[in-house]
Amino acid sequence: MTTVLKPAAEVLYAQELAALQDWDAAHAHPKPPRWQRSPQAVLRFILGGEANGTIIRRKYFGADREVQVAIATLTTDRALLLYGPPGTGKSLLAELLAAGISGNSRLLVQGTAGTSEEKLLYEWDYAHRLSKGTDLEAVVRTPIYRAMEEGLIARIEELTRIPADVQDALITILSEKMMPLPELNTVVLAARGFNLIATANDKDKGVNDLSKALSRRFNTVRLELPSDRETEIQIVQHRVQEMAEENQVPLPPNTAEEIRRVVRVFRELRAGKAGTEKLRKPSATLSPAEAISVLNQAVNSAAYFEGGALSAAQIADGLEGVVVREAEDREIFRDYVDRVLKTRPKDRALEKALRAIL
Amino acid sequence: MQIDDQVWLLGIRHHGPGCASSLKRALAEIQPEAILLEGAQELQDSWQCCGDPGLVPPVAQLVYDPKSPAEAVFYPWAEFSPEWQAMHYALRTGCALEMMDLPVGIELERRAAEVAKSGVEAQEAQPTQSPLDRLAEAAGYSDGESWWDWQVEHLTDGLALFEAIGEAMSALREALPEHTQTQDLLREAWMRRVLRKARKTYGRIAVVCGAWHVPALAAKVKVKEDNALLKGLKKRRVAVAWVPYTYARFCQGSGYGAGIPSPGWYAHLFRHQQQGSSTETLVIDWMSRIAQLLRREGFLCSSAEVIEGVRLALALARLRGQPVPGLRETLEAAQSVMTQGQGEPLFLIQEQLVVSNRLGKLPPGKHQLPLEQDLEAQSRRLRLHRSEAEQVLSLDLRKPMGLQRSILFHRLQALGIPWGTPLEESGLGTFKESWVVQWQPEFALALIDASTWGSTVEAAASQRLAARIAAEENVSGIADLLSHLQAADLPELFPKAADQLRALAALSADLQDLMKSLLTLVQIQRYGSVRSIRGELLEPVIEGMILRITNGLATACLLLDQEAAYTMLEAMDQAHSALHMRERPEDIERWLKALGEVVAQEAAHPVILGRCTRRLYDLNRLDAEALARAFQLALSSGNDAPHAAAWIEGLLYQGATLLLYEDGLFRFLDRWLGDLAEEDFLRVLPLLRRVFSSFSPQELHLLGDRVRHGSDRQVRAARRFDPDLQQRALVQLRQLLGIEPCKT
Repeated sequence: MTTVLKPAAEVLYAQELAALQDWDAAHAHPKPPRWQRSPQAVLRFILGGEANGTIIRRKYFGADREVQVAIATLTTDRALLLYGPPGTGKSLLAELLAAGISGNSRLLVQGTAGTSEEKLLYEWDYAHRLSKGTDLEAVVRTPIYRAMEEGLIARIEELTRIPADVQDALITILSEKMMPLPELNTVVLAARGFNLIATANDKDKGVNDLSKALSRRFNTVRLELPSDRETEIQIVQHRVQEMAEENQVPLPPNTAEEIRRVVRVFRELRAGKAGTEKLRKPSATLSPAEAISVLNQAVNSAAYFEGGALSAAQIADGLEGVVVREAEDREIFRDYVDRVLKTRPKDRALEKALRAIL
Repeated sequence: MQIDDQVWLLGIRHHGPGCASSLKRALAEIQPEAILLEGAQELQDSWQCCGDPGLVPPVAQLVYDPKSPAEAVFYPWAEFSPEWQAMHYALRTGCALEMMDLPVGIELERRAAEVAKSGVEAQEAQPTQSPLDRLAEAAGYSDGESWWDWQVEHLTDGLALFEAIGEAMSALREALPEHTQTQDLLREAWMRRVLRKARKTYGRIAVVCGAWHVPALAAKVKVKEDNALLKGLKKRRVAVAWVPYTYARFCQGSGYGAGIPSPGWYAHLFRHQQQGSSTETLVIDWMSRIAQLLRREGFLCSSAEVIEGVRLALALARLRGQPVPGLRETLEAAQSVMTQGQGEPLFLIQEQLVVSNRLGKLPPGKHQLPLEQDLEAQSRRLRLHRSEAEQVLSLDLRKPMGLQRSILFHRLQALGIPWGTPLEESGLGTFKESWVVQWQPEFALALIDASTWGSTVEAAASQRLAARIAAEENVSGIADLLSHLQAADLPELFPKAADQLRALAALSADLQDLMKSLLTLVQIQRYGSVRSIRGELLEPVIEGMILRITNGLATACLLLDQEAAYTMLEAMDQAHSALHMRERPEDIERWLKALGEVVAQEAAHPVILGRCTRRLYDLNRLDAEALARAFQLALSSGNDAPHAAAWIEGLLYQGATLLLYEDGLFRFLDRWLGDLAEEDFLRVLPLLRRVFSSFSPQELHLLGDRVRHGSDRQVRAARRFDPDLQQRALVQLRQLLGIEPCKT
């Protein structure tokens, strides 16, 4: 057991990755330059399967064709943009792709409103510049810089949170595959194998849309909220189980049942209808990620506080936390409890628990 | 699959491009003396036309019962149909070709017998999963369609392919006996019989049939058994016609059994297979087509994106272990590269791209029904092309070309062939008509249907309308038919229709029906000259109708509930405009008298009372004072609020002029509204809102002004006359008109 809170994917799945490498060698799969594994192996790493007798676990659910497009994109040395509403596993997919391809998922720039060009390209070590003069040693390399030098995959999280003019600094890197350092009158040329995976979302507040020039340089893969219920349940189930293992807490016996219940509530609120009943939609995205957090929280508190099964009260607390974001969400949720949950005898306990807190 | 040294069974998928390419090769290898093709026996004498110059696929052969053309079977052929290639091979090499399938005449008879037996269209329970899906599953594909595409349609193997297909199908039919239906058994017995006979006549025989039938034709079945199955089958006489077809009808959605989802893609695939182009060329060509269509929809789509799209599609195919990118790969690549991951723009072009709205052509004049030939001749003369693209045509009825076109469209409409649909009810009072023109391949069928009525468009339309006139039971129905006759220029039916109208009008107890028809009739009478129709035939009928309407109106307005009152109001409005259009003072006089009676009896619905009052006022039967009195009466406290509101609705129709210029009315209304109890106010609010929302913004503005400044302002403003200002304006005017020289 590692002491790290969240090990990188290439550490966590080191065994699987090694097995896939052997599988590649055994079948002489062709690999793009500097890729540690073949595209087939990366695909199998993410969607699960088997390699030389080692079971490869499925790590991403519900969008197999999109994953294929993503991997195919990276084989063509085009940058990849994963686009979609929050909580659809864009970052997870980006991390898995980087781990699978480069064996390194840590070359990461987190995009924020305060991200500057220096954080994307390079910075200066001013102490060095003052004492020893401006030379390559004085350059502080960003993750993207290093990825270019070493021919690895770099990741940018939340690209659309970065101010638009800063975003455009990427254009040269993506189209010319180099980064000019005018102060030193030189350029950094990207080594083969370098590529960029960015994630972005269009639904949140405070995002800056990509300029046309930049978005043309990406192949875009849209990841949507799961369209069918079974997939969504699978996603939540898989992740809740994984997290329970990581945290070494037992999984209560009624977890599967509660997952179905929560996913149903989420889907009904998201769609704004339950059966024939029309409902108002709350402001939250209600993504699988949020369902996972509700259940994870409940599982943990069942383990440490309640002992045994997941309680309706725990689930209700979690639900209230994710659904009610703005004042009127509370009313919408109460309306849902009154009109939908009330009619279902099986949800009686949850209904009661929600009524107590709403 | 070769069964012996005489017979090859070539199992195909109908409309599979790979099958078509492979079949071409296989036939070249076998060099058969005869081809047996899975097509109804009745096609035997007409398939040869497929080689006619001027015949462009997609086309279909239609086998139909001339006595009831709706019972018909289509045999659609596209260039990428293996059957089409087989027919062309036969024409080219001179080898014999026989249609080997069960005659449609027998199939129709059998269906009719089943319907007669059970009373409903018998549908054999079909297993939900297609047999191909089962094979695909075994091969690790998600569905049979894409599996077949990969295994068959992307290959151009020749004979080896058909060996493999034969084997796969044998295994399938053995494992899934429930997929074989009674109809299949009959057809296969028939085909075996044809094959046996052919063996005696010809040397090398290539049998081209649906892959599913291969095992059944290979099986050794005793002649006796087949004969027993085929004994006593009744057969109908059927006719065969060639009709143009569209790719859209090849799609599964259109309900044709052997449908394919993406004819546009198949056509593309087949073309490139024939040219022997490389995978890259195939994908590049397709991607540029996607880009072109996207550009046409207004999306920016650069050549660089086409290049990247091609690269991604190829990479994706490699990743998925496919030799060539398929339709899905190209679409997914386009979505990722060209539309920033959005699927919606691709939905926009899907129809044109994947389905393609291509329409086949037949050489003019040949193999057609007489009615169709007539239509063809007329459309050529009128320069109308059968295009499936929607088009708006504006016709000037004063020009012969415009009039003739309009007449043709109207006649076709009478025949249930809406080639043109009028854009709006333009009525008869205008010289312009706008039509939305769009040819649909279904019309070919409707034409066959219509041919039972006559052999020219005119004769058929005339027959059809005559039948409808005889069957019509409503005055308004006849009126509509009359106007249709006029528009379709069929004057010979006019007297007959007028007679029928007279008979119906005399007996009709439905006053509303009479009133509604009146407008149509008056229009026919008034504008008949444009269309060379004798309107005077209608005069006595119209006079009679007006008499009956004016005499019965007061009674008809009694005892109507809300809904009935509004329909009555609508009918009255129509009658009113009809009488106005007629411009006969004595009729208008009679009408006003009737309106007066309605008002006098006070028992009609308030909305009707309000409207009648308004009409009387408009035509100077009530002066302003009387109007004000009526208004006050209607709004008096004796009446409840909704009653009053309805009355106002009836009165204030078509604008607020009355309110603006009759100062008294405005004040009454104002006071009435002010005095309403809150509860009543809330009740009438929706009604009043409806009335006021029909006013123009300008009127509303003026009304608002009056409300804000009190009702006297307008009067005062009008009175504040400034002679000085007038003088200056007059001087200017004189100078402008040159009456007075300019002072410089």
